[in-house]
Amino acid sequence: MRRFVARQFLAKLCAFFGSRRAEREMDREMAAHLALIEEDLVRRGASPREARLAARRAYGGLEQARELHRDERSFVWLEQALQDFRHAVRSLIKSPTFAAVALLSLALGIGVNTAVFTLVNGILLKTLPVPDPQRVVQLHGHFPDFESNAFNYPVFRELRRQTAIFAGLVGFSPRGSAILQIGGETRVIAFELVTGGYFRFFGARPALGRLLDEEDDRVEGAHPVCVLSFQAWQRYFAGDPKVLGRRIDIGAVPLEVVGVARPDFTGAELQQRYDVWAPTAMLREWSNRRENASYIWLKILGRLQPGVSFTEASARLAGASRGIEDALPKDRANANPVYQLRDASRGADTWRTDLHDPLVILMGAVSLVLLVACANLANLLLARTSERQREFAIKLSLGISRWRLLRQLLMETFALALAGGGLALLLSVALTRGLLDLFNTGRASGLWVAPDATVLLFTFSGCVLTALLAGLYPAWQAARTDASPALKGASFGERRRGLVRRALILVQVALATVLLFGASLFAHSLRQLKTVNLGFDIDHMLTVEIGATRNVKPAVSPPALGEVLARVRQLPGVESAALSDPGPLTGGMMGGGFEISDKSGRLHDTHNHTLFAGPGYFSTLHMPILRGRDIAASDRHGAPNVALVNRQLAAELAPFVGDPIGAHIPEAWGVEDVEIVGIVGDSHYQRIREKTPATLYLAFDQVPVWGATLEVRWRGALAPVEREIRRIVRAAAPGYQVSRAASMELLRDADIKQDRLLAFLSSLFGALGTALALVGIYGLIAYSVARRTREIGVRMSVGAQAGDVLWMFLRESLLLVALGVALGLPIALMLARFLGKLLFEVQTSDPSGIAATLLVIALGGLAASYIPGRRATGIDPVRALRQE
Amino acid sequence: MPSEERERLQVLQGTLDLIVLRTLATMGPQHAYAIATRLERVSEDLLHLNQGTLYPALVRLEQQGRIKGKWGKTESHREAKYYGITPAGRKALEAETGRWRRMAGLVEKLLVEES
Repeated sequence: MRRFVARQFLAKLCAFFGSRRAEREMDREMAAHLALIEEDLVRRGASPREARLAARRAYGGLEQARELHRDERSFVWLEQALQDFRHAVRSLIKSPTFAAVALLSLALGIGVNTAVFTLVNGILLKTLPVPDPQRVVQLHGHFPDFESNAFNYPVFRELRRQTAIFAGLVGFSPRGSAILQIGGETRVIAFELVTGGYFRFFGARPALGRLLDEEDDRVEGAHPVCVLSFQAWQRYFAGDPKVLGRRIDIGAVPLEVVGVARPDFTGAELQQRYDVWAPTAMLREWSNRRENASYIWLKILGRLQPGVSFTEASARLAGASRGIEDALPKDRANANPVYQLRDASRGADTWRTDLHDPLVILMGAVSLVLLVACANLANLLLARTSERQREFAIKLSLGISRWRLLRQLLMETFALALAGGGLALLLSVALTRGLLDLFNTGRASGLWVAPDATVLLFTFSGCVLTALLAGLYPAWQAARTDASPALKGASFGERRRGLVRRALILVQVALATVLLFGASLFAHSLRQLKTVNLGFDIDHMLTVEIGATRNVKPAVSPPALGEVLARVRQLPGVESAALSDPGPLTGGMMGGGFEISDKSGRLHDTHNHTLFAGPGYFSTLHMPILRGRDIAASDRHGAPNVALVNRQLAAELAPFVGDPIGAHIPEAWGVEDVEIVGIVGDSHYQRIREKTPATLYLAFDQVPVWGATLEVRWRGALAPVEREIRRIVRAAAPGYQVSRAASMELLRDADIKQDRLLAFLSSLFGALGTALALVGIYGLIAYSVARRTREIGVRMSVGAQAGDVLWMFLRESLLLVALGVALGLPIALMLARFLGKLLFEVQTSDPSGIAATLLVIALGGLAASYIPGRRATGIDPVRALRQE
Repeated sequence: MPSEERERLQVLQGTLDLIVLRTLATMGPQHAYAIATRLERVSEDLLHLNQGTLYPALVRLEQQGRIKGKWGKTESHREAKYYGITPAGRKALEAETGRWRRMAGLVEKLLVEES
């Protein structure tokens, strides 16, 4: 028997999905049937017309027969589900307040989940849109001292010979922002150099013209062509098809547009968007010769040969490292790496490693928010169940089955969840956009993600899960309604529902505690990062990067830059200004060390960073000169070469040279015989989180430079100062341009973007979770006040004071809050241990965080119960007693 | 009450299934019209049914795998769907027949005792 049922179910399912075919089959059979009757009747002597009518009569109502056929063929319950859905929507419209509160908490709960999942999906989950993305790998070089995912071009050429390992190999090099000039107008765009096979590697097709191929990348300097992204084509050329063959200038290098990529082309990095691609053969127009083996610039992706496993390929490549090395020029930087493979099925790693931990934590946080929202909804539904006892009793006594009632109520929750999910999607789009803005301030190319089908599926699953999680128990409770007492007004299961509702509040408070404590840790960590002593003063500091627009040779103390500095110092809003290369907090500094001889003449290597600092640099940045002298205006080309060291480098030099002041460095960065003339304080120069680096400061005016960074301490308003500086650079420095101007605060914020993201979002989610929990408390107390009106009336008529009544409710909520915190805090402290890695100088058991969490929850709980409790004190005993 | 009506229909449906199976078991593969005609003839026109109502039973039985439909041609070369009983159908027919006999016997006995 069971076998038949299962079989029938499958058949019905097939019929439901293949209903068009089944419908045709049915019509065909009906027509055949009618024809047979007619034939029979005609044979017995009826006229064709009579026969047709008689056949219809014998067959019965056609539409009715069809309907019967359909009922039998497919699912009645599906029909019923649609009915229930309509019923649910009507029922929700009838109680708009309930629907609005429920909808809002769902929209928020699901919305933040969708937003964070959009990031998780875009950064951690999405794979490259190529067949078999698992076979795509990224090359890494394991050097004695460090790891690198960038290589020089000769390495790429050698690796490409390893055809036993790689079916394809492409190189790419993001060039950051570049100036695009179209007919005199300039725009800042994101620009990338790629090897010839790049587009084919990803199976890309052009939207217009052609894409780059191997021929475009063969001879150095011979292929001044480029491909535009679809977005750039739309934005800068208004989608004009005549763009093909047009000459555009990128960083003052003329290139011919040969094609436009399709809108969905992403390339090696899924979270990155570029506007223009040019062949690597053109590299030398902007910086170095491509063959320069000391220039490390190219990232490499490969596709493994079919049949070669990842492990096998890694082993073969490690084995080939030696041979590759032998084929390369000997005298170059970063020699002797062991080549390694990393999985790149999700594209080259730009953000994944950085954002993996924060995103996992945030996903955890939003799941908690969703749980709080579910508890809220369940609570609302339980209260509604109590109010609707009579309605359920009537339905049950009219013969609706309990199962159907359960389904109807679940459908109500599902309808709510679905509507909430719709709102959530809108909310998440706005939230995601906000988050990306937070991330991408001041960059031409930044983090880029967008929702896709996976995100939609996630949201929908979230809705279903929420509906089940929040709706199942209340619906089950309702379906158990005992009809006759409920009809008489007695409430069935009220006691149990009350207990469950309190338990739910407890859970909400516990979850809110966890969220709040986590948020307090990240907020505290961010505060520490913002107040940590960097060694210089970033307040009221502007940095302006000035770069050469033409392919100029580096020059010592270019007069144009000197002229710019002199004019900027004259500006009314400028307190002081100086030149350096590179600028602070740009994330980069020149690496490498120098050799220095001790008193016995033995040479020692140092490991330090180097920076070129002009006169006034240290005073502008408020960096203390501890001993010796500052770099002076007289330290120019031709004068004896001088340098300062920071305290850290001085300490590292002390074992060899004793007091570093007066010591001579034979050669550093091409400058010979440099005398150390002073010691300055330590500073975190590239990143806040770095260990204090040993730093050598060479005199800016004694070393050849391509460009410089102008450091300006301003007062008053920033905007006019920046505008004036840009004007000065245009007027006084032909061949140079401002490539970036940013306040140091902005640079600092960019450096701690991960921490800002965490602090901002965890606070948002903490606030949201807490607000939802407080709404829960409010709802519970308000409901309790409404139910106990009569009791309060009695109490007051026998002499209870307003304060006693208020206390009755405050006590209840405080008890719940206390229990919730007692449950939540240990969990919070336990979970916090996983956050340690991401915190900056904050303990995971941060006492101030605990205190803040307790305070917020306790005050919130009091406020949430005070409002309805206060209303209870206004109850008129006489009227309350007359009720019912 | 609609539910009562449905129950009566279900009894009828159960019987209808049995009759259809029986017809196909004795006569071999038949099209719906032939089944309907035979039902009317055997019941000596006492059981008069709209022939369209035969289809839910056919669909149900086919979905349960008790009969199998196949398009074919009549003697007059018209197309029609022929239903044949399957081995599973024969087994079900046997079981249902037994059940029906027991049920009919019980009802008969009750009716006799009542009067």
